[in-house]
Formats: sequence, structure tokens, C-alpha cells
Amino acid sequence: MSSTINGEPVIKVTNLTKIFRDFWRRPKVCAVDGLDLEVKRGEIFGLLGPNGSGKSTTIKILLGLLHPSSGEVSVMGASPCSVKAKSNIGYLPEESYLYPYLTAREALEFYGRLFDMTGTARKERISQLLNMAGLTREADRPVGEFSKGMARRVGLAQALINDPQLVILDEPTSGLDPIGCRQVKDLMLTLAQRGKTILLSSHLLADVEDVCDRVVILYKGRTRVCGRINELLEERESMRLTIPSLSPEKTKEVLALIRKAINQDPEIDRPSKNLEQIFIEVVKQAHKDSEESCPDSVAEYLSSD
Amino acid sequence: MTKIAAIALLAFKTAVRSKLFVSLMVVLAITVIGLPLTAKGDGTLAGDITILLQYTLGLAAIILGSVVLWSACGTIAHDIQEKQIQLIVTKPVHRYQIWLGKWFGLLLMSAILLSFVGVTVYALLCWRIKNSHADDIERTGVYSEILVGRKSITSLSESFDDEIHQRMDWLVENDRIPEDMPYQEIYTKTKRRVLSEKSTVAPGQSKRWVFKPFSCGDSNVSVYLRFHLVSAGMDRKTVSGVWLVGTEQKPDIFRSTMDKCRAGSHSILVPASAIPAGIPTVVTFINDAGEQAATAMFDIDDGLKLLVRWSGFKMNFLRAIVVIFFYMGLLSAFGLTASAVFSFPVAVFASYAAVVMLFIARFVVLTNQPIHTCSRCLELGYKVSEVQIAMHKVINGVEYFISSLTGYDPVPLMVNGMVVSWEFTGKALFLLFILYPFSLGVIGVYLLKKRELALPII
Repeated sequence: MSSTINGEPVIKVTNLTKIFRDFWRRPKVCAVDGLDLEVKRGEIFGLLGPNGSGKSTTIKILLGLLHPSSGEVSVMGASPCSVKAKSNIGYLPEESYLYPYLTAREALEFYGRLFDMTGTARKERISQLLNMAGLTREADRPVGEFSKGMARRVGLAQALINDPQLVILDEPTSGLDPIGCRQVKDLMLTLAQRGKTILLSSHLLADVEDVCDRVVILYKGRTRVCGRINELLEERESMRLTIPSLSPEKTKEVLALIRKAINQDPEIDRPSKNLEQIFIEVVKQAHKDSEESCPDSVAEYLSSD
Repeated sequence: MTKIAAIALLAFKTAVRSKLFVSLMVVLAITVIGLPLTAKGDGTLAGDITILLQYTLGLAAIILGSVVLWSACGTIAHDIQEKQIQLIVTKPVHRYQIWLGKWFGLLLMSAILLSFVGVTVYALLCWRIKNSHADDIERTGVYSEILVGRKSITSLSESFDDEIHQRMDWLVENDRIPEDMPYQEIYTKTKRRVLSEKSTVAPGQSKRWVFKPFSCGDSNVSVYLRFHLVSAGMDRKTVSGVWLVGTEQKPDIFRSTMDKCRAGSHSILVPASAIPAGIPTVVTFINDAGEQAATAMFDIDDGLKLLVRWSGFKMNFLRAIVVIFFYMGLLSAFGLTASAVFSFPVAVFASYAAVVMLFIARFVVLTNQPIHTCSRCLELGYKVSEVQIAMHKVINGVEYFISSLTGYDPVPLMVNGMVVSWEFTGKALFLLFILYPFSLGVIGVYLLKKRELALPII
């Protein structure tokens, strides 16, 4: 979780409503209905909700890709349509939307040029991003030949090429293998530590739980729950005590003591690793065994101040 | 500028890496190389060169124009449909930079394809001339009448209004006008009749044409006197006479005898020394008065001209290619603006329909007759309503607009050995490459700005 949050709002949404209309301007669907939202600098903010809850619509309004029907939206202190504000925004859409005939390097070159980056700086960043995405060897292959996960990595790289202050990620781990997912989560945490703000929309609740400071859960375009993730997840009625493994006799003694203290039978189980941790350990070991070089988890320019 | 260049390069890559581009290169190669090698002319060198210029270059320009329009319609529309535009507009890029970048990319593609066409046609032209069995006279004719850029000087127009009105007065006084015939029609018919009489030279009579002063540049340069005989007499098929070129004071500096000339276009070679410097040139035709003599009728619309060499063919050809390139710029701008509003199929349909309508409208407005209003006509009872005048002004505006779009085709000029002048090129540059594309660009950028680019395409 991020520790550099300060009170300055990077995204401010007040009473946002978006109604999609048909050709004759008749209302068809109300995708977002009176949404209020505030994301602070340095925060990792999760946007959750089932399909059709208005997550992507909200993101697209924040980026100026859709126009609000009513309400006010401010991103980096400016209108979502402000071109200047976009210099500090990185966006990864739900699908990568890359030009299939461009190679990974050409694609990053193109997006780098859109930020008016100088040739040397651009090349340096592209090299670091390709390394981070584990695509150095594939850099000169057309993106159209890539798997979904590889294209996703290029998509993520393009979102970070400008070292943005605000990163908007729509399903960033979709199509990625567990190592890629872990990398993305580590990347988000690193960026947040550097004071960057991240708005994350995902269906993968475990990912959101791992990285987000605050979340909002949307349903049919309305806010149902909003708050700090640890506060939302905490069960105040019970607590867990983790101690080193004990012999059966010692276990009985400890349980008896607890039972006496709380006048109730405690539950006992062993902490378990999750499958993601095991997978990462196995693959990292396999990498070491085959003496292949591991890609950087985070590009140098993204982790340095 | 970096952003525009990046988008331009992307648009160029999009076009070049598409299957359409490869197919187009094949079609162009067949058109440019295959057509002149297979098409048979009239067996003369001039015929071969006309085919090469008129059909090959003309057809290649049409194919290229269609493809440029097609590609332009797809450029923004595909980006919106495939959602790639979402990654561009979320970067610090203005909509006008997107539009301009795409336009420049299409221009780059057009320039490359057009260069290929131009170089190939010119190379084939040189090859044809080199390997032709034509004799020196034929070659000289080709060089002086086709492979040249000549300026056309028309005679000073005369006003026949008084004569037309006198004729109309006579018709009214003698009750020769049908009651239901509108005065506009009476005026038009009378004018036509007067003009045709003025273009007729009876046996034994003569007619003079006066040309404003012009310079031939070089005294060695030859000038061609071109005239179009509509018919030569009622029952006889040929006209004979004498052409004189000179000044008011000395009308016969140059004299040429015309013997048994049939209907059609004819040219007479006039030495530059016969053209006076700084004063009007006078051309006189004296029709023969003998027993075999016939009335000569000259075309009213395609009047007498003096054709003066103004530039070499190479520069003329280059300017023609540049003007065709301006047309590509206009078509690109049109397609881009259509694709900023519509989906690809709709943009293609709308653009091609607009081009077809433009060409149809060109023929429709040709039928537009000028409204003639003068005090004499009012006295005769011919009144024009405000609505008629307003409608006429609208049609005139449309006519001007259409002719400004379609009036810069350089191919017919080249085929007739006429100059594609710098003035012509400059006007084409302003209208086809600056004014209209800029106007279309403003509309396109505005619509692109207003459009919600993440809306689903239905």
C-alpha cells in the first residue's frame, strides 16, 4: 500500500451522470448515475463493479473519450479534454488497441513522439520499458503477431513512457501470466511510492486487494461502497494470532489457555501460501537453473526519483 | 511538429503496409506500362503520345484519386472503429494535429505513387520518341504541337448588344415572336444568330480579329494561328482563302493561302517576326470569290486563337503532375473529413457519392443560361423577378464553385500542347491545396473534437 498520499485531489468527480442516447437522441442507457469520486495524489484507487456497472464509462469520461451528460469532472486540476493535462497521464485501456503492423519498438517510438520526447531520452526509455516488459528480443516483431499477454505488456509500456503523474489502468493484468501480474502489482506499488496516483479498474479482486489504498464499488452506475480497503476488509469480531509451529502437546496447552481466557473454542489452522507465490517461486528457480536473464521488474526511470 | 510528423509517418505506414497499396501498385503498373504497350493508336507518333498522355496519365490519375479517397476515408474511421484513436487522443495531442498528421501521411503516399506514375510515363514517352519510325517532319510536328507548352491568346471580344437589340425591335415590330415565347429565350436566340452571322464570311468578303499586344519572347519561336471551321458552305465542302497577319497599319506582314480547307480545327504556322511587339496584332481572313467559293463559318464558342510557345514540355509535364498532386490533396482532405464524422463504409459512400454528384452537377449547370437584363429589354416588357435573380445568383455561385473544383484538369491541356502555366498552377495550389483542404480541415477538426471517440460504432 502507498505511504505517500497527500490531500491534494488528482481526480475529482461530482454528481457525474452519463446517459447513452440513440440516433434520435432518445435516452437508451444510464451508465453512470450521480457518481461522486475523489482520488488523492499518491493513492492507488480501485474501481470495482460487475460488468455494466459504469467503470469503463467513468474512466473514458475522465480521459475525455466520452462527454458527461451532467456533473463536473476535473483531472489534474483541468477539464478531461485539456490537452496540456494529458502530458501527465498514462492510460492502459481494457484491450491494448495497438497498431498490429507496428513492431513493439515502433509502437513505443510513436507514442513517445506524441509526448515530444527527444530522440535520446525516448530511445533510452523505450529500451528500459522493453526490458521491463520482457520484450527486448521481440522488440522488432509486429505487435499483431504477439500473444494477448505480450500485447498487454506493450500496452502497459506505452502508458508509462511519459513517466506520468496519473496512471489509469483498465484491467491491467488481463491476459498476463502470474509473473506478469505480480510485476504489474509491484510496478503500481513502486509508482505510488514515488507519489504517482493510480486509478485501477479490475475484476480480479485479489489484485485490487493486494495494491489498492481505497476502492469504490459501483453497481448500475451508482456508488455502493467506498472506503479504505483495510477498513472494508477488517472483521472486527475476531482476530488471528500467528505463532511458530508447536508440538501436539504444546498446541493442546495453548488452546486450553485460550479457551480458558475467552470461554470459547478457538479455530486453529496453518497459514498457507497462495498459488501465485508458489508459481512465482517455481518459475524464478527455473529461470536461475536455465541461466536466463530475468527482466527488470520496474524500468529504471520509473523507480528512481 | 514532432507529433504531426509521427502521425503522418503512421498514416503513411498504415497505407503502405495495407494490401490495398500492393494491389494498387500492380494496377498502376499495368495501367502505366501495360496500357501504352498494348493500345494501338492511329499509327502516328502523335497518336501514340496522345494515348500515353491522355489515357495512361489520365487513367492513372483517376485510379490514384480513387485510392487516395478510399484510404483517406479509412484513416480516421478505422482508428475509431479499431479504438486505436483512444491511445492517441489520451496523449497530449490536439485534434488538428491528428487531422494534419493524417493528411500529410496521405500526401506522402500520393507523392510517392504519383512520382512513380510521372517518371514511368515520361520514361515511356522518351522511349516511344526514340524508337519511333516517324520522319523529321512528323517529329517536328509532335515537338511543336504536343510536346510543348503553348499559351493561347484569344481575340478581343466585341460587343454586339446594339445589334441584338435592333434585331429584337424588328422582330417585335413585325410581330415575328410567338406569344408564348419568353423574352429571355428571344434574347438568347437573337444573340446566337447575330454571333453566328458575325462568325460567317461570305465569298469575296473578309473578317478581322484583333489581338491585344503580347510578346513571343524569342524571335525564332513560331506562333500557330488556330481556327475551327464549323462548316464550309451549304453545298460545297471546302473553303479557300487567304490569311493575313500584321498590324492596323500593315495588315499583311505575313500572308498564308488556305486551299480547300474542310470543317474542323486547323493550324497555320506564323513566324514570330509577323507579330508586332507592343501593339495589337490584326488577323484577317479573305474568303475566295471565285466560282467554287463557299461561305466560311467559324465556331462561335471555340474562337480564333494565336498559340505561342511559352515553355518546354519537361516543365509543363512537371507542373501538370504537381496539379494532379493538388487534386490528391483535396481528395485526401475530403475523405479525412468524411471519416471524422462517419464510419468507414458510410464515409466511403458519402465521399464517392459527392464526387459523382459534383461531376453530374457540372453538366447540369452548363445548361444555366445567363439572365439578360437591360433597359431596352425592360421596355420590351421583359421583366425578371427577384426570385429569378436570386436563383440565378445561387446557380452562378454553384457553377463557380464546381468550375473551381473541376476546372484544373491539366491532362487535356498537355494533350493539346497547351501550357500548364505557373498562374494556373498557382490558382490550383490556392484552391485545391490550401483553401478547400483548409476549409474541410476546419470542419473535420471541429467534428472530431465534438465526437465522442469511445462510443460504440453502430
